[in-house]
Amino acid sequence: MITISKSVPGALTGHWHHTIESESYTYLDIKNFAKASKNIMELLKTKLKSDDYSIKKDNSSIVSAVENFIEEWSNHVHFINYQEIKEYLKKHVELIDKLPIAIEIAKKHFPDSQIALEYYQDPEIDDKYIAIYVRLKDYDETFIDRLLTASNEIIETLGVDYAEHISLDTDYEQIS
Amino acid sequence: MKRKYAQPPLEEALCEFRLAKDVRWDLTVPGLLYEKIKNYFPEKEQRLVQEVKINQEHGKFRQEVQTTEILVFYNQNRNILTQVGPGMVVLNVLKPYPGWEFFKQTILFVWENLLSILPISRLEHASLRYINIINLPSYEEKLEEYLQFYPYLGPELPQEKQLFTIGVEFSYEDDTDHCKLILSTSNKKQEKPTFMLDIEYFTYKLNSLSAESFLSWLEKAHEVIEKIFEGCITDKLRKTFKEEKG
Repeated sequence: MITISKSVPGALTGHWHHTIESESYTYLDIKNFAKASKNIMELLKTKLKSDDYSIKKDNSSIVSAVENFIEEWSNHVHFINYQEIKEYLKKHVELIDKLPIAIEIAKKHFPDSQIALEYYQDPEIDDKYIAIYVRLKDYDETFIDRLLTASNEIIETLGVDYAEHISLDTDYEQIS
Repeated sequence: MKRKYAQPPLEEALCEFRLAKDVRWDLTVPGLLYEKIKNYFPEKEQRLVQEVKINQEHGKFRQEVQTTEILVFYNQNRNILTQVGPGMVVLNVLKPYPGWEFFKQTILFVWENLLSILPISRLEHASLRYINIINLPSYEEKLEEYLQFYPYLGPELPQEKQLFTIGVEFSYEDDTDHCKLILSTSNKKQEKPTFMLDIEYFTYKLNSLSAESFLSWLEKAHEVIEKIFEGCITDKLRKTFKEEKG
């Protein structure tokens, strides 16, 4: 078994390390998974006749998992208060695999929207969560109903336990 | 003498161990472990992680995405957690770091409870890792005044470093263990220059660590990490961590 893991959170390009039998290889400055995977494939062809191996991200470190999430999604969503989101996710690491599902559902219902994420803390009561904001060019009269439908689908898909941590909403901002 | 800092740059410390393949892990193990440690880790969550499995059949590579369920047990403050997956346990401590003695005792608490559930003679893999976030006062500062491990750029190269990752791996114990040192810039431009110093001591040879040697291995791993960390920083940076005397 060969394990390849992305092991540097926060790095621009990522860093991949893997071990083949007793030999260890480290790739620095590899732009993305595809390139890393290609390089490793080439290496495997020369090193191994047949074997199984697995590639996984660095999931053991909470800091890495959060940084990877931010890095992967920063081209697709707008992080309003990214530092606060990071801190919240560190204490709720289980949300990292739930947020993409919620974002995908929001995008399915609002394909032309911009999605923004905000760590929200109610100033009066102890209520903290990640708000997923749907932003549109124009908000018509069907908007709220569609938002509610999408919100219900998120709750049904993720389960009610996550409703207190992830909320679909809008801040009525224009697409930036 | 060991140094102690009032404001250490440590963002996360983690200890991971993977059990040897001959250990009879089954689906009841995470639940049994939770029952034993829940007084300290009462909050239970679940996360899914994905990995791509690649195998070769008839000269062709086939890829398959596999999802693994990891149970996460948090302490009440949610800054110390135990992650349990198939044949794998990870202990994570987020800042504020409670100190090595406390972290070690927490690792041993989980380890001993795991031993009471499963007969473990050998570990396939073990690692101890410290992730530090280092901030410099401004972008005008010279990196070499703060760090003793930084990228060297020859005179023919552009001298302005925007983003970088550098790494080195040291060998220990007759190449049984390695220590990996990585310095990288943050992927997002911050107000102040931010660097991640990631130090990981791990068993390089698979299945080289016996269960009874685990504690001494941990001590050794921590000692190496501490030395590497101190070797990476200059007194100028040390001052910003506010060393505690006595």
